[in-house]
Amino acid sequence: MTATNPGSQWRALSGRSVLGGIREGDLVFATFTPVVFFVCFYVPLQNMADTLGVNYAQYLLPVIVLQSMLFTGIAAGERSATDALGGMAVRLRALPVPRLIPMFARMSANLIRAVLSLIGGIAIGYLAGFRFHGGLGSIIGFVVIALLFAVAMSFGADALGSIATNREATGQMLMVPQLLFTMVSTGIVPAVGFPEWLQPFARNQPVSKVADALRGLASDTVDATTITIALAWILGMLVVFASAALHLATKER
Amino acid sequence: MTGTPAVLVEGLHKRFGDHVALSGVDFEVAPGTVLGLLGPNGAGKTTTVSILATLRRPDAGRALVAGHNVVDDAAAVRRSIMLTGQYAAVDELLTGRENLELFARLLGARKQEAAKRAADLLDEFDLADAADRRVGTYSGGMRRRIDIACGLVIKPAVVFLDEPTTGLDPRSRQHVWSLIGRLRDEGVTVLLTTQYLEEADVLSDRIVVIDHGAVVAEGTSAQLKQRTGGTHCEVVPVEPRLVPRAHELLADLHPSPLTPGADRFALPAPGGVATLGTVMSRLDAAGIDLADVALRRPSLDDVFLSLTGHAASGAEQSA
Amino acid sequence: MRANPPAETSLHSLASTTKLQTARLLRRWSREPAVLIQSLVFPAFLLVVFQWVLGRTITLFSGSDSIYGQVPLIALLAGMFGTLTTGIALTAERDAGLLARFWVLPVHRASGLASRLLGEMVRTLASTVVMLGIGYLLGFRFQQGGWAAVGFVLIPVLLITGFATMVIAVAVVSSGKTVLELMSTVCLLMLFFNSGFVPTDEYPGWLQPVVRVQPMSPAIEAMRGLSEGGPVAVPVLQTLAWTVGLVAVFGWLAVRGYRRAAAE
Repeated sequence: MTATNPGSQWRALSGRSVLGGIREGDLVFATFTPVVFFVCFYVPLQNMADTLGVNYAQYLLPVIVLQSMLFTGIAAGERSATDALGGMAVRLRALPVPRLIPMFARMSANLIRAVLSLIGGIAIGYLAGFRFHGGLGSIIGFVVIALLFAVAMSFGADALGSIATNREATGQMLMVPQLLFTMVSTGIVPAVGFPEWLQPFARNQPVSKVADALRGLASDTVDATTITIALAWILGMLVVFASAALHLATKER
Repeated sequence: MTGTPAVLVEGLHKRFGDHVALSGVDFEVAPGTVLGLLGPNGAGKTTTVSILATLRRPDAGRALVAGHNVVDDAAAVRRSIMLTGQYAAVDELLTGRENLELFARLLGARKQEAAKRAADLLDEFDLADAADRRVGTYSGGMRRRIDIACGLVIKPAVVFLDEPTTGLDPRSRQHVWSLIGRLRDEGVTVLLTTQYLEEADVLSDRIVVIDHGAVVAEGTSAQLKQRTGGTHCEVVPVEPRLVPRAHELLADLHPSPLTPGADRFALPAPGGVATLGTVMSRLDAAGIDLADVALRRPSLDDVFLSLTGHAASGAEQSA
Repeated sequence: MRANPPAETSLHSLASTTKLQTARLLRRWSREPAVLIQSLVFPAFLLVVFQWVLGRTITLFSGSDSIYGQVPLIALLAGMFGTLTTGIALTAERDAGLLARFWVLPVHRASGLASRLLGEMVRTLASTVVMLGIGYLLGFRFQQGGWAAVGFVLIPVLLITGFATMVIAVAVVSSGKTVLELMSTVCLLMLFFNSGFVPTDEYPGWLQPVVRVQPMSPAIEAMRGLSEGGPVAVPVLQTLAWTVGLVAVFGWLAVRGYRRAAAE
């Protein structure tokens, strides 16, 4: 017997989560969800955007990417609810495993899922005419912002899942904010398309703001303010959700 | 209907693909009696019951229920029976009362009659307090009771109880047993399938043992036990080291061979109490104290083992 | 009490036992959160959100108010999602032995299936009325008079009889649940590819024939005609053709499968 090593424990537990995702088909699902949603919005609405002279693939892709990051959050909630309800969480607490290791292992699996979604989304976008017009820096910025957003969402959902009483209900409950923030955003149509009273929300809610930044980075038209607002939202959510998740993971129960 | 059996089964055959579920089952149930259909999982009990309840058609053979042919006159059979499955099949999202009223009305009762009958049955089955709760919130025992009650909204001629106590706790099982006794008292014919030998022993007037889709034995519980070799006497000395010595002293009574290390042995007791007396006086004279000495009749487990060559439960895969 | 039900082959039995079993199903569904969510809450939510997000844009581009495409679309979707959910519940009823329990009662042999179809029709009528109420708040108005309005709510009821026949035929086979879940995904996709989401002309030319003939589109066009105005006869006949086709193809499978499922 070797002494317990948090690094190898983390690797073992991450591997377990990723394998579970492969077995349940979730990683395939992660890759194809953005493809399907992109097609569902792009095909019916592209003609109208064309009339206005807008490259709709360029316009739409950011919100599709962010939606798939929200789906990653939902999967994270279900993952953590499965551990919590299936007794795995309790079992790991009884082993010489540092309290935070299981949560970080789940987060690694979530990050892998997010990367696959990002690949799926950018691939379908490229087929439809989406392009990175900026340099390597803006591509990296795009990827980092999208993944940070996924990590923030995953922390929040992980915290919720760890106190859930029902796995399916957790997933279904999280679908509501997903749909609301994706649809009522400026990611599908510009704010002027919404009823006046709804425009301030549509324009300023986090998914819209982060989508603005992603769109700007891809089109190389971004300014510092847009990036700052997007990062402020992401980091703010990251701090709140991560501290909730850390608190729940280390709390005596 | 005196003289005609309530249930008559002749040469029933049924196969599912390559699997032969029934290969010639014959038996009869006299009106107003309880027949225990006994067998391990996959023996063909449930298939037999589903043919009798008109759920499945036999490949060959004939079956009459309350005088009606289950194939040619299925509608008349359905007017005469009630079926309770292994899993309590009532609508879990409806309350106990709603379920009872639904079944009563489907069986032809008018609205008020149905309400009255439901209220009576709820009282009778000790479910009045839970009457307006959804069945999904009931305990296992309550569920089985409401299930049986739903079958009794109209008094049937023949009741099929397919493993009515599987999965129940001992108290609920006791409750179901007393219900079955009451059905018989009211003159209802009951066909009870079970894996529990004890259950068949306690409740049935006659027992039919089936295995691999065929009847392997039939008779009353006592007759079946008789077939396995009758009464024997079991001898348990206080001190296990004296077991061989006691065995030697009783050698002329043909005791069963000693198992090394056993604290007891048995010998046939054709003379009943007389044999018991001989054993006691002889061992007393030799100064061997007994912890226990008793006449034992074979259990249905012994019967089952000797008839089928395997134990009663868990021996077969369900078909 | 005497057992005195009408002979199970009689029309009287068919009517009375179908009515009783329909009442059971409606009562059950009204207590099943999944049914309420899928047939009322989720469609209502979609209707509101679609109208907020796409209403102005589509109205601007197509020249006709998008609400007259969205309300029919969502009314159909509510019926279909509801049917898929009750179909999944049917697989559970089969596994629990409830179908067998009803089969051995002296009820008309067709009443089990008939009550399910009738139940689906009533449920669809109810959800259509609810979607209309929400549509009204969003600006939907009947412009073709009272009879047209009656025709409007009957279109989803008509189409759902065909759709429900298919769902029941699938639900009663042993792998039914998995297929139904797959069908839910297909329905979700159909939501984006029909003449109600955006007008057919907006789709790429090669896709327009598919969008035009898929079963929801003729029904949507019929409902558009019966509310906003426009052709009615042809889309109604197309909807009827889809319904008759689905019943013809899946009706026999449903009858045979339902009988088998009861025996299992």
